[in-house]
Amino acid sequence: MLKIVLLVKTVVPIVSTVKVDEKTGSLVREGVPTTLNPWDYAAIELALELRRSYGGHITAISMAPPFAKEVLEDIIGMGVDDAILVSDRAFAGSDTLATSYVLAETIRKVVKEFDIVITGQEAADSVTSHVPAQVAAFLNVPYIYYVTNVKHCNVVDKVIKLERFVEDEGRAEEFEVDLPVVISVYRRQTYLPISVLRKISARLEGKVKIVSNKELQLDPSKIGLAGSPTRVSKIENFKIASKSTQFLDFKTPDEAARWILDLIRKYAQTGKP
Amino acid sequence: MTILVYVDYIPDTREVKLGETCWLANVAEKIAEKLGYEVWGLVVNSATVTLRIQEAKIFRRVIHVRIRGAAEGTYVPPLFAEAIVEICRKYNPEVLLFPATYRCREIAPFVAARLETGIVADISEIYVDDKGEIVSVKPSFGENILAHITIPGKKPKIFTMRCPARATVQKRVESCEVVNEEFIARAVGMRYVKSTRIEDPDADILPEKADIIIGVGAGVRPDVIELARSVAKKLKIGLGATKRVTDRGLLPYKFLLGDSGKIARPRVYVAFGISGAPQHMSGVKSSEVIIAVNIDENAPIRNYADYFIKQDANEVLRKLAELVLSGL
Repeated sequence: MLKIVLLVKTVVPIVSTVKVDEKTGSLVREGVPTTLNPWDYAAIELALELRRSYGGHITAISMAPPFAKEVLEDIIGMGVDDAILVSDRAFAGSDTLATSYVLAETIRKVVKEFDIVITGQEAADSVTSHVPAQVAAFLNVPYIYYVTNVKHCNVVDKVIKLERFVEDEGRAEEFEVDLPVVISVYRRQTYLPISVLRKISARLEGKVKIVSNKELQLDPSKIGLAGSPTRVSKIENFKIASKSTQFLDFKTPDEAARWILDLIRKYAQTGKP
Repeated sequence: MTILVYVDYIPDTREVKLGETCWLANVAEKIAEKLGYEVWGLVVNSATVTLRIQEAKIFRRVIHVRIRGAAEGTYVPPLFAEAIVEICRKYNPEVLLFPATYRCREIAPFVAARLETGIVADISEIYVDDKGEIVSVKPSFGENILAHITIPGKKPKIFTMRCPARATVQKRVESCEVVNEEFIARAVGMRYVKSTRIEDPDADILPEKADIIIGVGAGVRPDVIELARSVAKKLKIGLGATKRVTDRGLLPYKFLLGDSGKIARPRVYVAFGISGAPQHMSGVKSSEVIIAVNIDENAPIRNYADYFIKQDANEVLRKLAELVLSGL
């Protein structure tokens, strides 16, 4: 029996569509739909796999505005047992540190007992990868990122053997960890659209519990903007450094290919484009 | 007052990520000059790495913190992080800089949480504003938006920064002093078992560390994509692809550039048959030079391109392959 907690996030599906309103300097989110963070699918997949192998219960948690309830219901549709939506105006403006604190306290106070906390590798919108390590720090438990495989889990002695992949080093590493543990799952090269494959539960009533700061009773100085050490001083749209495109009129593909090859070779030799 | 630069390395082989370290040292030096700080290096649990860093003459001073109870060459994220926390508590640096490698992206946020300070991930730039505040620039939402983020009133301000892997140090120091520290490991309930190198036959053409990349999009036929791969191999340059190409299974996802793939920072990007959708361009648009080869001169990529070649990408790639593979 494993008590599994899944931390998920809602994001905009095509993140590069988000723009800054040049007049107000804030993000235009109006009319931009949200969906489950694509890298979270791998986390859900692993949670379901673990429950199949060792038995147990999966609770998904997300800290978000009320609209995220639908996304949590989708996840329950995929086979997750129940979910907690942590939602309160008091949490608005939280950076990763304050968010991790709220999530850790939700696990501690509402979920209470847990063996594994599973997250995706990162969120497609903010791309920080902060939350798993920071939740682990607040819960005071070990953690590991980029997990590719659970080799073995001893549910009696509460020890888990994990493999992970450090992509930029091209190395696989193996660890043995005492439960409870926080893990983030490597955004695998391929992931199955499990929402399609595993429609298990259609009954959703009462399965998403909404938790606010009334229940959590967290110190206001540690949550929201007040609990966030980082400040966004300015946001701006990425501007392509006003390029004047030069149209090259080559008569044949051969000419074009030779020009490109020359440029590549020249760069390789001089280090200058 | 110091800026600490964390020195990342591969634990198993003690291979130092020298390019990244030099890049951060250069960046830190610029900030330090403005604010009158000093730049120090920080090595966790490796005498070998410390010696290499000392010989490289990047920093005037390097702190080496040995973890008592953990063998050199082993790696346990919370232990490394706790050792860094100890050093920060003792030396109280103003800034702690990490390269945004997989390993550092894992330990840096833990350090921030323990010290209850702020952290900004994957920054592309850092500067001092006119009030003397350190500001980081973080590309967000698929590189579409630049957020300028500060961590006012906190110590240390923690950043992970994207670094090119091949930087060299701008100002070499005359000598480097090593300060030895020891951290007594507490039980963290985690044991490092082993590390294995996964051989990737495509390691030499992966896009993320390449200075020159050729990219292929939906306009390139499957047989020509194979040619592009051979060209990249032969020229020892990076290969990139759009989501269409990887979704169709024409290239593995490790070549995918953009929102759902990798962000590359090449200096030259040659885009073959790529229309220039924002979710792809997010992965390459900071390239210094972009060359687009596209039959459709109205394709949006013209907005990003420095040079636009109106030709069938298939024909040009085929010719390029002929030239390269015949050794001309």
